Amino acid sequence: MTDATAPETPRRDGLLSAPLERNFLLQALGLLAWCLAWMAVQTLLDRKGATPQHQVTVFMAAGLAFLGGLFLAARRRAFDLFTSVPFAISQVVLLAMSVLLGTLVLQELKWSEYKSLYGTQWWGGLPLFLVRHAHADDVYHSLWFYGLMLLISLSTLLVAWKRRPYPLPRLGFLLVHIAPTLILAGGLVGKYGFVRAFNEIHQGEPTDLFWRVKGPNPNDWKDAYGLPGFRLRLDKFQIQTYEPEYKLYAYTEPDGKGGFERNPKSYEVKEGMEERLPLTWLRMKMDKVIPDAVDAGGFQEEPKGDLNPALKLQLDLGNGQPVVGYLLAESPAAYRFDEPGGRFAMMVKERFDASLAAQLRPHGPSAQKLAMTFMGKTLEHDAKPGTTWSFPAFELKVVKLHPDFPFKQGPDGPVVLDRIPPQLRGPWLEVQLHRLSDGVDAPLFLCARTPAFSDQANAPILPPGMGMTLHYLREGEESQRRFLVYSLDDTQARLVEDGRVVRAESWAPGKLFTVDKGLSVTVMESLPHAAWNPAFIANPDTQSKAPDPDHANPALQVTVSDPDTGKAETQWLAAKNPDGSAAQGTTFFDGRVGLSYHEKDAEPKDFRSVLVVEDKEGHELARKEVSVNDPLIFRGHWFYQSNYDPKDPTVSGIMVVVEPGLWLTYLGFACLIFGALWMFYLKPWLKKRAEGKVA
Amino acid sequence: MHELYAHFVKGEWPFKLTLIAYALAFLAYLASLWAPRLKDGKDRVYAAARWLFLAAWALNAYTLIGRGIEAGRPPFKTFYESLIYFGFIFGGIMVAVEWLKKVRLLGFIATLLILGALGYALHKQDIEIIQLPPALNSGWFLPHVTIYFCGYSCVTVAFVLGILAWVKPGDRSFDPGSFWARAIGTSEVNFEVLTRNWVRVGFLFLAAGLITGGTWAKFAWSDYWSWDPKENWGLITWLMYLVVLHLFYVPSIPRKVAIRVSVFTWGFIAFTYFGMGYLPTKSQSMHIYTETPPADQGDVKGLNKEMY
Repeated sequence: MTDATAPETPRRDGLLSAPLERNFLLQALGLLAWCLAWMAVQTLLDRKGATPQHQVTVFMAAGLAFLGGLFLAARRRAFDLFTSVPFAISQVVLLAMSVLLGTLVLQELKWSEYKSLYGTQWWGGLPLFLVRHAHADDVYHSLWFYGLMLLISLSTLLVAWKRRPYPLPRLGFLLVHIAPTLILAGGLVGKYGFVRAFNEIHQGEPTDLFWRVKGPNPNDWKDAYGLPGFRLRLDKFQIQTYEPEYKLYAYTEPDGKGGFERNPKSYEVKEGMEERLPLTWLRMKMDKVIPDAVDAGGFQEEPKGDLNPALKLQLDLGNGQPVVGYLLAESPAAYRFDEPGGRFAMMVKERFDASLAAQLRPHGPSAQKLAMTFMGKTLEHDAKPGTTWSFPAFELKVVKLHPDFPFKQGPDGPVVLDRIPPQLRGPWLEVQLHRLSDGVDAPLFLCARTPAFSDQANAPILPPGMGMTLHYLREGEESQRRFLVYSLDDTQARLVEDGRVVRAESWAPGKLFTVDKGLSVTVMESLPHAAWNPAFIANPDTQSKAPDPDHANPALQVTVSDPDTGKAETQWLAAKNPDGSAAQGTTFFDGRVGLSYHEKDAEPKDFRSVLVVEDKEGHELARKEVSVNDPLIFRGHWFYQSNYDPKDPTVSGIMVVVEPGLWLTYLGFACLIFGALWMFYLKPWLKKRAEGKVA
Repeated sequence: MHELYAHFVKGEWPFKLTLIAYALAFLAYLASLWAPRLKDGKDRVYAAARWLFLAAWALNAYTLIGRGIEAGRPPFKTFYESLIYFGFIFGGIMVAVEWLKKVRLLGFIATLLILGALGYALHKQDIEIIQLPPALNSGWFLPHVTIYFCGYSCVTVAFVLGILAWVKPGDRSFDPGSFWARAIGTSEVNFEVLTRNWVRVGFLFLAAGLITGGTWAKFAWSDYWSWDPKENWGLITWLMYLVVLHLFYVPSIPRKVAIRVSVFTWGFIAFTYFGMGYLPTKSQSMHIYTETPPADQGDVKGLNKEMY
């Protein structure tokens, strides 16, 4: 077997005696010195406050000047070195190790973050040293890394020059050796004129302004980029989701610590399905599946259960339609019920004391805040009159807190407060917006009770294209003045008005407490160990309609049985909790098996925006439905689907990118692939064909 | 061992059958390396090994295609799926080589490596099919991953040949009745040249993988290169194979050095595939495969933490 690349007579060189072009040790030392020099240059430029773009300019000028000088001083030796294969190997190995360094040291963190990350490790001194002195915090944008790439570019170009002329079979060699320079040149051109900027575009509000986002704080959103001679409009935004899929997960390996294995077996849910559970002899049967269920169960006394005191109460409103429900003394979410007419609230508490009574009176908020949302971020500040906040394009100032509807004059004359709808009554906040672009001041009024109303009223005044909303928040406020409090320790029912007990009676099952004329509450049952006993039925509201997979709450009844003992346990599993969150699992046979029924994790399938490019007069120039993998490209501008606002479906986050050197990079990629194919496979074939012709 | 058994019990049947078939093929190849020919001159053990390898690969393909149809997307979103895909691509290449060239030693090593990959897949098994996030929902997904896995497979072949070249360097002429002649199906061979040829193919695929990845990234993330740790390791492996190719051309460097470096360089590929989760910078990568949550985060929808 012959080999076209068999070496000529191998020459063995000593470690130090070999000439530079074949001496790996000297080459490594030289490359190290080259990198150290660039580290020093970058440190100097950093101290002088040079921007990254200026640093690249200095780097290119100084690097080319130095290499030019080197070739003038020792042309032959420099040429031999730069065109030697060992030097190519040294450079590529060092480049690979440099790339590797950047995958070991976390990139682009702050010095304080590096210190907390590495400072406590015994080996942490090395990465901290490299970050401090070798720019290892941003390896791939450091001048020494650029320096290595400059050398590789120069070497490959000189090799291409050395090996000329290029008859057809050798074209591949030329292509692969000019490819690195083309790729790097594309990156270099990209350093000048590269733009990446963002904006959250509102449907129907064209914009030509994007921001080069620097940080997470809206105060950092400076440095605007204007589209040259055209603007962008959002016609439609849409989130595509996968159909919800509910599955049953079986856990059969208890870990002895109250948990189970991390990889349960998952099952498609099908009524009547029966299977042996993995790694056990227990059998599971899916008795009943309800695609959209409601829990018609109730609390039951479970004497062996945990202490969970509850009262079953009947509220009689005098309209012949009593309301029955449970109040749980120890549940923060279920110890209070406000009568629908707002006349009083009832409560069940473990005990009643003076401090509780003092809280049961109307009082103002513990905190009042102005919540400012723009570009998907929310800032909350205390709403103190006179406070001002400055932003790149505008200023906001809190003017006044209004205890009630703030407008004195309406379109039909003076405002009569009693005629104002209750949702617009209550406190309002007055804010002044000062636009820096035209110096105009505009008043904004924010309604605490119905924020959506003031959102709509203020929308035309707020700066466009930022997705901006302002809300007035009041926390810890109490508006109720009358309470009926059932205490369990002394079985007393107390009526409290404005923080004072006005009447107290003992309570017992069946006993009625009259709050007011035609308004009474009866204790139906006391349950010291209340436990919820579910009983799922098909949702009567949706039974006759087509199921809505996004809002349905499926429930599943499962029986787990042990064929050895003949014992069986049946339980209901709902996919969702009453608040819509995924339900917890439950156990069978004293924790031997766990079953959980819930929606499979699903990410959105796609985000799609219909974008229109138009000129300043509104004439359409281009239109496309962009999605995550499919940007709109117009006059060198690539518009990407970037983010979205889960609260506002009329807003779409769009990123614009301008990258001038892209075509050069792709030309380099093409040269690399075609050149290598040519070298490895086409060249031998061409050679063979030529030899055949000669023969 | 119990954990592996538990994983096996919970596994999907097509995957389990694939695993069993590869195990049988491996045992048959192992036996075929030493089993004597029958009196009629036929090598039935080897014939059985080849058919078993082909059957295992067909089952591998069935598992993969079935998974793709069920998921409605290319079946290599998760680590588990990608390992099955590696078995399919690498197995496909090796089945082709085996049937064309009759190299039972390669069949033996290939089934061993695929068994290792699928055994690891058993450990990394998915609980269920995971849907694609928007960024992966692209026409570039299939070609990019396929090209890369072809690259991984070719350099894995080069790695195996490199080890053989290390053991048996230079032009070799084996006695036709010897173990080696039988194992490689020929008496004349130069493993060094074969290693270099497979490195070339692998290198081309790796380059194409980098470029298709870059093109996809330009459309999905706006940058053809974002210095993501996985991208960087893709570049490191490519650069190291570039070094290997150049080493074959330096007269002053013995060929055995190039061979040894090529064998070690395969370690970079293995790390790029298996080791990304161990990188300190893994949190800065958008390329890490989806996996079953590790034990310390073993909370599947609250059942573990909240179990009453």
